Amino acid sequence: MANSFKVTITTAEQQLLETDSVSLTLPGIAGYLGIWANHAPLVTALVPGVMTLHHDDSGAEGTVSHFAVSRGFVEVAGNRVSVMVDSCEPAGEIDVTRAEAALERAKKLLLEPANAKVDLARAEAALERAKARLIAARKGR
Amino acid sequence: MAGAGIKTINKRIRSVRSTQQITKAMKMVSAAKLRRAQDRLVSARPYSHKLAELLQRLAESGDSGHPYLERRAVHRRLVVVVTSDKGLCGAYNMNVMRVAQRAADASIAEGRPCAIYAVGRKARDYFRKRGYDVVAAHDDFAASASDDKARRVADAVVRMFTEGEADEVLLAYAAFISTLTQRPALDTLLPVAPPAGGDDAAKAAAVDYIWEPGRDALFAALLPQYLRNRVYITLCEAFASEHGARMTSMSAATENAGELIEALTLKRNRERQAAITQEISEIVGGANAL
Repeated sequence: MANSFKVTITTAEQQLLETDSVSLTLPGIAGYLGIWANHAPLVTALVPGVMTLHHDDSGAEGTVSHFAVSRGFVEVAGNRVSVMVDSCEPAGEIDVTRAEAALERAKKLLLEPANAKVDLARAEAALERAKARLIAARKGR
Repeated sequence: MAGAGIKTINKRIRSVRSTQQITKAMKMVSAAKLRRAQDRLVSARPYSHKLAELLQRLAESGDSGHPYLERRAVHRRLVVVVTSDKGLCGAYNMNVMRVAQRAADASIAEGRPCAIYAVGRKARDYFRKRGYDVVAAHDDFAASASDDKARRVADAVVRMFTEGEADEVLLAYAAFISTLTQRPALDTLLPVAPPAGGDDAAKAAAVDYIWEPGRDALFAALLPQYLRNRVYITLCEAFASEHGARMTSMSAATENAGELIEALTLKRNRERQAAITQEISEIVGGANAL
């Protein structure tokens, strides 16, 4: 396809996915961004959120994938997109009950001001990750 | 008495055999753990390469004043030594500690104090016993790498670097080449030296990237992650090496025990025969005397 590009998703644990795509939406540090074929070279940081990948532009069922991603980076160069994230879970593999429990736990931690600074930063990150998981899971359904 | 000799030999054979059983079991456990550690290392490498590539590109596009990149005059050094908690892995620990000790001694000889950050009980005990300044030690890593453990080490080291307790941080560990080969390595962790690029780096440098939200902000986001990943990969390498070294040395020990058992069995049979011969000649001598 002329209007497609290659996507590589690498997480801290493994090379997760290598596929063709026509459109990719990512949670950038300055807001969500969409990438289409022939995008200008770009490097940006990612925050926890939902990544959406369109495998082709037919719009048919099963050609769209949602992932919950955590902190990381994306590099776009010459119709190749490398997504580097700490973790990346396909929507279908997300454990909703676990994510909900994590969300509650993080909320509780953030509401108790007695915690150390480090714990707060981690709790915030956990909160963001849990939110991203829940949204991705809902979209994937 | 010849009979007593046979008894002691039998006892020794039994003891060697039980040791052999232990070494054989340890070898198999290590083989299983090695497989897991190796898998982890192999699957962690692509991410590590990507991060390094990205950092390289970012560094090539211009300098940054980020504190992790700053080369200060070195007054104090810190060497992070990654060893095992347990022994029975041949020269594995000694090789790494020798490299670390040489670096520390060289630094001290230059009049630059050098502290030791020990990962693994062996390094802690070794350097503490020899009067080095062991500022931190972990002995609960159980020879298996994880993000969390890497984060603990990286955060502590980065804190020491930014607070000026160390102007240079080195990493001493055993790089995993193959099951049979581990190469002791000494790398500089901080200040971060962006990886040098090869041929395709020059090509990539020609690409005019959009840095979003900006180069300095990207450095600030990338460097901590890069450091954590460096520590993680180092732990993966070291622990894979450890299991490899243990497997090899336990396999050698099992073989040696086998040889020992053979030699002892031969000796026992000889002595038994000698005893029988002696008894017969005693009987014959007695009969002749009559």
